[in-house]
Amino acid sequence: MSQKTILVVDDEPDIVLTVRLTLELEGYRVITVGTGEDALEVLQRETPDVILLDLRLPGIDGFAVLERLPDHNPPVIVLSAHASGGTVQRALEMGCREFITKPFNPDQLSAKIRSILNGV
Amino acid sequence: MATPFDALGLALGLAFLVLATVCVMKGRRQDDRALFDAGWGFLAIALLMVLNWAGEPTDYRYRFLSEVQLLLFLWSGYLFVRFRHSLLPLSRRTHLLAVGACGALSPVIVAANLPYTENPSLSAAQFGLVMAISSVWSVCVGGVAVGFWRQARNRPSVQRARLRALSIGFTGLVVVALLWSATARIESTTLLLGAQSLALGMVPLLYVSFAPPLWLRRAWRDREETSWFAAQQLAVFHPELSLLAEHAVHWAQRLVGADAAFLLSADGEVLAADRWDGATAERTGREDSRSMLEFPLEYGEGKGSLVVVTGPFTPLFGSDEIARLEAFTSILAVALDRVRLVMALGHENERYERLLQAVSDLDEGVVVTDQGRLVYANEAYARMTGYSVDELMALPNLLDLSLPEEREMLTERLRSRLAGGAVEDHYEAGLVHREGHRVDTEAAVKLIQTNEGIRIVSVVRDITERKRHERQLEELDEIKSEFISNAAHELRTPLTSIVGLAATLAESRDRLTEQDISMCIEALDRGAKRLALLVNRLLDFTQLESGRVQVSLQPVVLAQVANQVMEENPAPEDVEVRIEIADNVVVWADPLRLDQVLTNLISNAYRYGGHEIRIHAKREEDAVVVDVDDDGPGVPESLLDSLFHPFVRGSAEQQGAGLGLAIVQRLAEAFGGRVSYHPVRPHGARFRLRLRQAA
Repeated sequence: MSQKTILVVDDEPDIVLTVRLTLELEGYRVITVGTGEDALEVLQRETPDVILLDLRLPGIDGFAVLERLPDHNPPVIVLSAHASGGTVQRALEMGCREFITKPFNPDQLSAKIRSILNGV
Repeated sequence: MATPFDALGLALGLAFLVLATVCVMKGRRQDDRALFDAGWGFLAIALLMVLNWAGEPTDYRYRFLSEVQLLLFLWSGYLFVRFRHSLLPLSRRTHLLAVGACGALSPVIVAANLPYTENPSLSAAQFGLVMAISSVWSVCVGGVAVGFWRQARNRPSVQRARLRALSIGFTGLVVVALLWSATARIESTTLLLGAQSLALGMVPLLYVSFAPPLWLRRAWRDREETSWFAAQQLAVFHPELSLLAEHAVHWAQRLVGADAAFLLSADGEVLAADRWDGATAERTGREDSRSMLEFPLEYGEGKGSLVVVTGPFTPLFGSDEIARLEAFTSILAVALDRVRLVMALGHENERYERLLQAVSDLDEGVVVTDQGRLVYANEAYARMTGYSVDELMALPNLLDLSLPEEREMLTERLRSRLAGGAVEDHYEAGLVHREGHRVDTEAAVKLIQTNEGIRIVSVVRDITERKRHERQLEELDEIKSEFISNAAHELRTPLTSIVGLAATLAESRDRLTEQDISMCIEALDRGAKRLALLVNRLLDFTQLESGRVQVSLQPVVLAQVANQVMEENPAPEDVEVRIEIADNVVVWADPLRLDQVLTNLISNAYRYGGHEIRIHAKREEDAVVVDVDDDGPGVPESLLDSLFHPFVRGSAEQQGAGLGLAIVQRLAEAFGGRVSYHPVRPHGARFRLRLRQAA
């Protein structure tokens, strides 16, 4: 089984560090970017298996990134501190597979990623 | 014996007898002393005439009778003086003079032994006596005639006519007396006949002046009638009660030649009086009610009366006069009722106007419409719409002022209301102000039935302000929830890393490299610090927002606080800070809070600025302007509008709470100053703090 790649899009360095450490310990290959623009650029050359996406980003935000993903592929897990019903609803309608509210437990994040990868 | 003189003499005697009887009887009936005196005077003359007719020249009785005749003649003059005195009082001296003259002549008449023959020839002395008697009499009676004539002036025409008739009658008697006495010297039958005819002619004149018949009273009244008719018309349509009443009593009094008249209201109040003075009141009070005639006046809720007071110069007050005054009284009652109604209507209108004015003063618009067209609008409504009342009245339809999108709804409401449908009396609608902006109103509407048809009365209130407040409250609510949501977001970010890193360290520390572990610990430290900072700032901010932070303002030496801030927040290695504040710059502030303000501004400069920071203060009139300048990139254009709003941060990579400038702004305002941002050319940021200078 080849190593799965996960793209992490978040502008908070400490959150990126937390996610990165968690995922690396699970054995994933992790690419991190701080802006939506960088994420789209990475997607030009890489095909990650899962994207972890923050919604509030400098420049184009998470929703804009979601919008530009054709056929909801690769699957997206939104990681956001914006936990209002409206935001969750909107993100799900725009094709994200899971919505995880910050703060989150690392095990919870790993479980969600596993279920997506196994389900696909 | 049966000469024309005898016949004339008898007729004369009888005529005076009738006149005397009328006067005495009338005087008795009316208890009028004046009439009694006149009556006795006429009786004396009548006796004289009768004796003259009955006597024989040769008879000794004739002689006696002739002396009696002369005495009767003399004293009749005195009786007429008394008559005059009771109507027009004479001075005591004049009175005594008359009595004295008559008294002095009386014994002379007896002693003179005048010859009484058919054609007497008198000695000079005897003729002198005759002339003296006739002179005294003429002066007495002439005085009466003159007195009455003069009195006639300035009297109502009816009284004037009567007084003049009396005066002419007495003058005639004087002429007769003079002619008569002349016959004692000049023998002329013509003269005698003339004198007797004249005397006979005076009798009816005197008679009518004491008991005028209806036709004469009407003739006398004739002069008044024309103007009275006009006055009556005027009076009936007079708009004011007191003037109407005055007119009424004046003309009632004039019409019948009364002395006075007054009008009593139902509660006995005198509405108006004419010629009613103290003397009349006293006389009326002394005499009985026969001199006062009361005509009931039914008007309004009660019964008043018109009272006419007759006087000594008032001619006979017959049924004709009473009928006239009764008719006048009924017209007067109608006129009084009319005036009362007109006045009541006036008061009602005035009350209505005042009510509308009061409503207008409270800025409540009132409009009355007829088929959509305005028939009344008050000032408040005009102010509300920006039009003048006249301009509003010229509008073809009040709906023209409504918002286009509401016109259909309003038309439907109106149609339904007029059709008797159940429509809410209270509704809200917008108006287009003359200057084009929208005015929100609420209106209460009622239908009223008027003589001209159904009208719609609306009371309109401007609720634009209230609506604005409601919208502001809604906006405030949104801001509040956004603030809470932002605060939660800010707190979740450090919490996420703390929770995640702590779990990772706890579960998998042995699988991490040393470098990872130290990064984790550093991140944990940053997260915890940021969390603490955020919580503190949030508390600060919410307290400032709710006004619960007490700032104790006092004069603060700016340079001291700035230096202290620099000690607490030393500049990073590659940043140079220059402080240019004179030692004597003193501002009004809370020293601890001013420290917080400067700390915030300096931290921002460290965080977002370049390598040079300059803090500069200068005095401007009663203010101190503190600039914190840096040579960094400046605030991005996109942030300018919300720079001082909470949770706006220059960059997510920087570890601020996003509350610093929001707090600075609120503290600056609490000090009575303000903070503003100005970009620096070619690049850099300037935060300008304007504070009040303390002396």
